[in-house]
Amino acid sequence: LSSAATHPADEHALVAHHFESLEQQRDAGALGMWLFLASEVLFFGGIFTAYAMLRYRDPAGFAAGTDRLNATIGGINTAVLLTSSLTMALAVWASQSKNGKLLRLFLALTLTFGASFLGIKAYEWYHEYEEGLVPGRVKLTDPEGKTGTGFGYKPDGTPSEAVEKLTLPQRRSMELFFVFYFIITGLHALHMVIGLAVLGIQLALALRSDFGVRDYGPIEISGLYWHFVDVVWIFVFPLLYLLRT
Amino acid sequence: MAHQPIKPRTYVLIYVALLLLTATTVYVARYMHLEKAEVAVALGIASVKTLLVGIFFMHLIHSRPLTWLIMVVGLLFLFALISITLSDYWTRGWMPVRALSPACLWG
Repeated sequence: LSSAATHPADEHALVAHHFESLEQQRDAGALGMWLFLASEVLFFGGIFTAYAMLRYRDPAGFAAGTDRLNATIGGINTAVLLTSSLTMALAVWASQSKNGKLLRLFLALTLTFGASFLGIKAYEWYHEYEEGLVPGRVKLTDPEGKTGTGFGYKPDGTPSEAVEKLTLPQRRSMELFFVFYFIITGLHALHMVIGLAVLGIQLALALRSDFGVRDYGPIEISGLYWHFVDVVWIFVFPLLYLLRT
Repeated sequence: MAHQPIKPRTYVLIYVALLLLTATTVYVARYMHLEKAEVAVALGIASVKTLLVGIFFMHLIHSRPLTWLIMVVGLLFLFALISITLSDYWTRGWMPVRALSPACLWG
C-alpha cells in the first residue's frame, strides 16, 4: 500500500497475475458488479410484481395505505438520495482524476447524505409505529374490544384513527400494503447500510493511503452499487408514496 | 475502457434533471388526477430517471457492449418475470380473491 504505486511504472504492482492490464482488471470488476446488479433487479422485481398483483386486486385498500404516508417527506428523501448519487458520481470522477482531496470530500458527502436518508426513513418508521400501522395479528385485551395489539392499534393499545373507520376487508388490504411497505423500504434500507459500510471502509482507506487515487476501479464499483440502490428508490417512491389507483 | 471521464458539469445537469423529474412525478400524482394513466406516467418518469442514472452516473455511455448485454438481459428477465406472472393471474380468474372470507384471516 505504498504511495509509490501511483507512478505509472508501478502499475503492474496493482494488477493481479491473471489480468493483462489494469484496464482489463477494472473492466472485469465492473462487469462482475453489473452481473450482481442484474440479479438484484430480479430480487426487487419479484417483490414489485407481487405488489402490483395485489394492488390490482384491491386498489382502494392500498390507496388508503398510500394516504397514510407523507409524500412530502418521501419526496425530500428522494432528493437527499439523488444528491448522494451526485456526490458519489463526483467521487468517482475525483478518483479518475487522481484528486485524493476531492475524492475524500465527495466520499464523506455521500456518506452524510446516505446517513441522512436513513435518518429520515427511521423517523417515518417511528411515526408509523406510533400510528399503529405495523402489520400483525390483533389480540384484544378487554372484552369491550377497545384495546388491542397489532395492526390498527397504537403502542398504548388504543385503536388507530386511521384504521378504525375502515371495513374489515379494507383493513386487510391496508395491512397488506404496510406489509409490502415495511419489506420494500426495509430491504432498501439494508442495501443502503451495506453501501454505507463499503463507502465508509473506502473512505478510511483513502484517508490512510493513496487508495482510490492509484486505481479508480474499487471506487467505480461501489459507485455502480450506490447508483443501483438509488434506482430502486426511484421506483419505490412513486409505487408506495404517490399512486392512488 | 480508455475514455475521457464525464465532466462534473454534466453530472450536475443530470442531477438537476433528476430533481425536476421527481418534482414532476409528485405534481402529476397530486394535482392532475389522471386515473388509470397515473401508473403509466409515474413508471414512465421513473424509467426516464433510471436511464439518466444508468447512462451518465453509471457510465453506460462509455461501457462496452458486454455491459449493455448484461443490463439488457437483466431487464428481459425482469420483463418475463412480470409479464408471465401477471398474465397468469389476470387470465385464470384468480384475481378478485375477495370470495375468501376476511373473517377467517383476521382476528
